[in-house]
Amino acid sequence: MCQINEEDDEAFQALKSGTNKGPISRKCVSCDQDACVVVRTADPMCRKCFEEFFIHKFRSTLSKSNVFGRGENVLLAYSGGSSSSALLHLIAEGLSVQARRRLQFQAQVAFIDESSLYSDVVSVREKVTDLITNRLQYPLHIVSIDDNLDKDDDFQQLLLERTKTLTAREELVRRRRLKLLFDIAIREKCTKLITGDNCTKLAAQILSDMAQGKGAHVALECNLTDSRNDLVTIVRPFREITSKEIAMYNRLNSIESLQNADISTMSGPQSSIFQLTETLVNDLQRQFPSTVSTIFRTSDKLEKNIRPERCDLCCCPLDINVDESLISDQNRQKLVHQLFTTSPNSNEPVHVCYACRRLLRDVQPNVQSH
Amino acid sequence: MHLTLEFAGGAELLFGKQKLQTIDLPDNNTSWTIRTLLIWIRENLLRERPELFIQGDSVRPGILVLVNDTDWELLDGLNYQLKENDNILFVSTLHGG
Ligand SMILES: [Zn+2]
Ligand SMILES: [Zn+2]
Repeated sequence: MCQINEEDDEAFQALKSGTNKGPISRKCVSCDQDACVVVRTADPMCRKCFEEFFIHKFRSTLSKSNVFGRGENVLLAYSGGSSSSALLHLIAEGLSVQARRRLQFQAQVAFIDESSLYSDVVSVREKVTDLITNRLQYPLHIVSIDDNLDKDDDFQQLLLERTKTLTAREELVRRRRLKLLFDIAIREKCTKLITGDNCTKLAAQILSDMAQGKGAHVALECNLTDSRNDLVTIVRPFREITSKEIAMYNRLNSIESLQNADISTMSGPQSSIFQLTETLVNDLQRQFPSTVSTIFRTSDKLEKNIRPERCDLCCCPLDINVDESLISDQNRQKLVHQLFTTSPNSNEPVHVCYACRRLLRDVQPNVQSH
Repeated sequence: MHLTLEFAGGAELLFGKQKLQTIDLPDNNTSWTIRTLLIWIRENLLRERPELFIQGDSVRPGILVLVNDTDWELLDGLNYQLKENDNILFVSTLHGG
């Protein structure tokens, strides 16, 4: 990166490809068959060994969490995207009667429909219902992202007209999505929430969170088990699996994602902090394949100084003291109640963490004009 | 040269939501590689937001390329020489495509 004219410098290119990438063998590292995919830093694998490696990594991560009770109700967060499609597939296999070490929990599925937020996107509800209810036969809970909001607090209008930046928009949607998932889990008496977050996405999110003052929470946000909610524990069985490995697994098993668009689609690599850090992580990963795991290990080591009380927006433990976290502005307080608490008309005080406090600054609360 | 191109994971959004296209590349004196195919795609298929698909002379990092279901990293990447009826798949692993 610090070389001048490195693009034109053939010698440098040769050196770089020789040392960094190495001539990759076309034989599988495990069995010597022809390889079809390169995983980890530079390991070629054949289809059979790759699938074994992938399923083993998923199952061992899941058993490491060691948290599922026999018959426990577990809610799967399904977005229709590639990660959660793979997750659903693996869990359905693990729950099936033919499974070698059968998973012992009871699965339900939640789908948060965000299609009302973007124009040009058709809702995939019917396809989701067909997949989950008809084919897999799991209880399915579909909730719209603007569920329970009356006309005065239209979520799309809030995001498009009263939220300053795409970063703030993405972060509000992320927090509200999680809030809705927690609500469904609690209502359906599910004590675990499984998400499809993979390590490439989490690495980008760690950097993006740090840039937004959420450093105190990054270890929690990417942990295998996340206990920010006393009633529902988040479990992330893909935290050691890369987005490339998921894409490859889906291709080999003909697993189709149903929804690839989201609020940031077509916005470009520099449109938000997350888009930037995601581009950065993927860029680095191409040159230095250990980037993602390094970011991960660093975040695990971060010291955190947090309190037992929780943030009303992101549900994470508060990282500032009670006076600093209190929202004094009445309109903002009302906004938080409307979007993030189960009692919209409550006058209870609202406390938010440092990052969410900054986030709220980019949102114009509705000044009632009627 | 006849090829099948597939776009998935959101990459299809940059190609009019078409997930599958068959194309015929003009006969050149030199052989076609992924590198020259990308230039052809940029000029012939990719009408808007090229920066969401192409970076430099390659695809944007985060877009996985498979040639006949094999990782292009195993096949010389950009320098892979295309063969008649190859299937080239571009999968975006980026958020929101
Ligand atoms: Zn093998
Ligand atoms: Zn917060």
